[in-house]
Amino acid sequence: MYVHVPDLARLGKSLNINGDHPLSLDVPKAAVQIKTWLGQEKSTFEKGFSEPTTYPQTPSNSESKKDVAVEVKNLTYTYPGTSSPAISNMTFCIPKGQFVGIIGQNGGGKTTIMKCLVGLLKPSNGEIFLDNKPLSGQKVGEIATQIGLILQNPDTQLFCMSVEEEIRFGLENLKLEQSEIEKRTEESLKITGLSNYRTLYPFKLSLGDRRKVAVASIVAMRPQVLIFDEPLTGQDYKGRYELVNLAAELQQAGHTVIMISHDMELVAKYTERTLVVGRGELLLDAPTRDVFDHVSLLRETYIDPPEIIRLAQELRVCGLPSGLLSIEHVTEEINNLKISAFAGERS
Amino acid sequence: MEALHLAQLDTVIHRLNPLTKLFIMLLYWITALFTFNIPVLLVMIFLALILYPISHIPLRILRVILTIMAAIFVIFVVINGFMFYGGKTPLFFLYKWPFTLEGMIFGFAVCLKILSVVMMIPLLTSTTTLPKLMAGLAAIKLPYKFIFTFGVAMRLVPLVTSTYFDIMASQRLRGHDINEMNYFKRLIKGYVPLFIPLVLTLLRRTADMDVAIESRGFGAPVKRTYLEEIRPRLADFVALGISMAVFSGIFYYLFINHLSQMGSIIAF
Amino acid sequence: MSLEKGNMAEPIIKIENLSYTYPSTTKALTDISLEVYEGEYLAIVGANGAGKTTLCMFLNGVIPNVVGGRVSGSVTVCGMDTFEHHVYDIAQNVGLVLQDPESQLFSADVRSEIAFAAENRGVPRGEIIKRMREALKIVRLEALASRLSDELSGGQKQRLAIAANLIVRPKILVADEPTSQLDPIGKGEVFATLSSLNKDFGMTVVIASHDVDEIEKYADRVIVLDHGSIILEGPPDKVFREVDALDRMIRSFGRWMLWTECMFMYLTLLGLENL
Repeated sequence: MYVHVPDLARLGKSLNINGDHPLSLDVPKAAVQIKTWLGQEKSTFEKGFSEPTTYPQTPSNSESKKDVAVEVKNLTYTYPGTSSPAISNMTFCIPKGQFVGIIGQNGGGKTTIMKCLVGLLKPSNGEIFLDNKPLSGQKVGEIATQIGLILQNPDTQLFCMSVEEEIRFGLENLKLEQSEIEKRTEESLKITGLSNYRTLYPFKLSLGDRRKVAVASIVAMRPQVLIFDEPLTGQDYKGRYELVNLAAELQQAGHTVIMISHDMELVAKYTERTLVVGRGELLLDAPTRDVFDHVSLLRETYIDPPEIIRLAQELRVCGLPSGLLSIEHVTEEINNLKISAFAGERS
Repeated sequence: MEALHLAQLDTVIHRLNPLTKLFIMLLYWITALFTFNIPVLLVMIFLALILYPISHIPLRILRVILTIMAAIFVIFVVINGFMFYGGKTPLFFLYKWPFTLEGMIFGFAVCLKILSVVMMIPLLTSTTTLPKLMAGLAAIKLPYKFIFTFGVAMRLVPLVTSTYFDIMASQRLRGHDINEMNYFKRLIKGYVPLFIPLVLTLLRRTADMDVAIESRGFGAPVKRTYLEEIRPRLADFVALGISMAVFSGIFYYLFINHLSQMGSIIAF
Repeated sequence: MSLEKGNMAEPIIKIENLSYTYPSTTKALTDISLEVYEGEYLAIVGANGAGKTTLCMFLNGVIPNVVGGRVSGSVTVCGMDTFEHHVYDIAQNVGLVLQDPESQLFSADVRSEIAFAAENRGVPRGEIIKRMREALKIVRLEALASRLSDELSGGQKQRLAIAANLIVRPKILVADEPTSQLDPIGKGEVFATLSSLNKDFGMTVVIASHDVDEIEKYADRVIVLDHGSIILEGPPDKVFREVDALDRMIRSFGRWMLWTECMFMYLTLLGLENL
């Protein structure tokens, strides 16, 4: 699992396309091979594309306001000394317990939004509400108990002699009782899988483990919302997989999770909803399964959907349903098409 | 730092050979440190001041210097006012301890000396690009290893400061805000979570840098060449000529009129 | 430069039974044997800690000359035995690009960064200027030539690092995870540059990377490192189809990193290695 097996190689193995050549690792060629296999090279059958949905900007009246974790209205921020805003007029609203992905090119404003959400930057304009409470006026330390940010580089945080001390640091700054600190430290270690590492020096651990320590120390402060800023850079496939899995487990435990990442494959697999941010604007806010259908928008912002999704899009002409995000689903649907094609032939 | 950006501009001063500038600066420093004559010092400061707009250095930098110097001024004037042993004319008393006129003037002269020395520094650093300066130092046969270390250190300063700010932000996210702490708490516990990650990051960066530097042939037993050309040009000779004239004029004036003020501490 | 690949003449890189243990007694490589021919594009994949960086640093002699440790076997690059030559001599033929854009750029501006390697070898000034123009053209940074290094994006910084190596006209360019810190645009830029160096200029390229999709597009050959040994070798479309073998890879070292080795060296100097 340490080396990422290309999607098409895995697909090729499970599909068993008869023929001399295995499934090509190149998307267009593979699409042609599969169409031929399904007997639909010249297929003009097209299942209508449903209009990709977008999310409502503010919670509608029927939706319970109680369930909103983060609400952002017309957020604008201009860095001092620059003339144009880094982000302008961002409006979105995230319900509790959702796993949201944020994608887009560097410099487009993703990190700026996050810094505004945790109070590190004061917005030039607009408002932010956490759990229906306005963010302005609160100190960063207070905000940290409601929304936690795990930065890309864990080495800007780690300084203690043991993992355990590192986790306790934030809790001691919150001036909690010792018993409460003990309890929360144990929980944190458990959920991040670091219980056996508690006495080790953080700087001797691998990058993935150091990231987990940073996660543990933020999670211990029990914020409802967790933001991961590019948690996957620099790691091998297994490390990336483990970290996203951790984020998913934290979501299961009740947290709202926001993840900024460039790894399209893992974003596609794990997030329910994706925000595309570019040039300081919110370009798209939609369920993940629909985001990759906005082909031209993604191309403008230089975002490449994962190979398996591109293949699925090419095969829509053959009747493959939309919104498929994983190899398993694609395999299943292609096999279904083969069976119906086979049945069609016989009848 | 801003100095790196300012050095990219193009003025008469920028185009001077770095060695010329270094030499003039040293002449200036020697003269300033040598005399206690206040009018002369004021003239010298004025001369340096003229060069600021010529080199396109924003006055903002001067303001920063003056703000820092202000505190030092006050301290020096006060201390010398009370402690100067050549003081004869008391201006007022603090618990029977005299604050003398001569002491105050002496303190003021010392401050002017410091100010003139400090003022010259941006005139060098903000008008000379780092590669040019390094090539200049190499031309006077300083060992390259030292020049290179100096250059890398200069280069690292902005990186270190931005890393420090990143670390401060990270620790704020865990409730550790250095600006919210009182003085003593800061000293004892406050800086530890900021300095340790800084030091570790620096160690890591320098380890990687070491590999990069070696991989690009550093230390080859070959006569090193330089991209920047250090040739004396007409402007350099002109500048040197002017400076020599000015400074010898000053020395002559001091020698003839105020021999007692040169380097010795006697009331005038 | 030869544009032909294949079993012509001697391999440009020849590694025989290489085993290596770091000074901190971490065993990094076990019995590696590898031949690379001029003009090849070789990719090295594997878990973090499997030995990719270690192997890359053998190719220009940084290991064992700078880092030390216990080594057995041999590494010959462009006819030179890397254990017997200084890095500054081997570096005339081999360029090395590292993972972190910040740590490998140390000059104030773009031009002096590129010139550095040539200045160190005493290349005449006029020649440096000529080669700099060529290097800037290849990495497409001509427009940014007068900038300060701070002003560049991640992808631009890595291309600058490549240009800084090209100035000595090496035959081989080794890149250790050059894109892992970059966004997709930066990744694309770097891979395009490396591909151009390989296809248009016949440069031998060795790249360690996790970007399997890009490697599959560009590489002639892939080797998979696991726990310090080569477990798979061959063209990308064969190696990446070995789904079961790749899934079964055993645990990596996990904790090792280059800089812990350097930390270990610093601490040893201070007598604190048992920390």
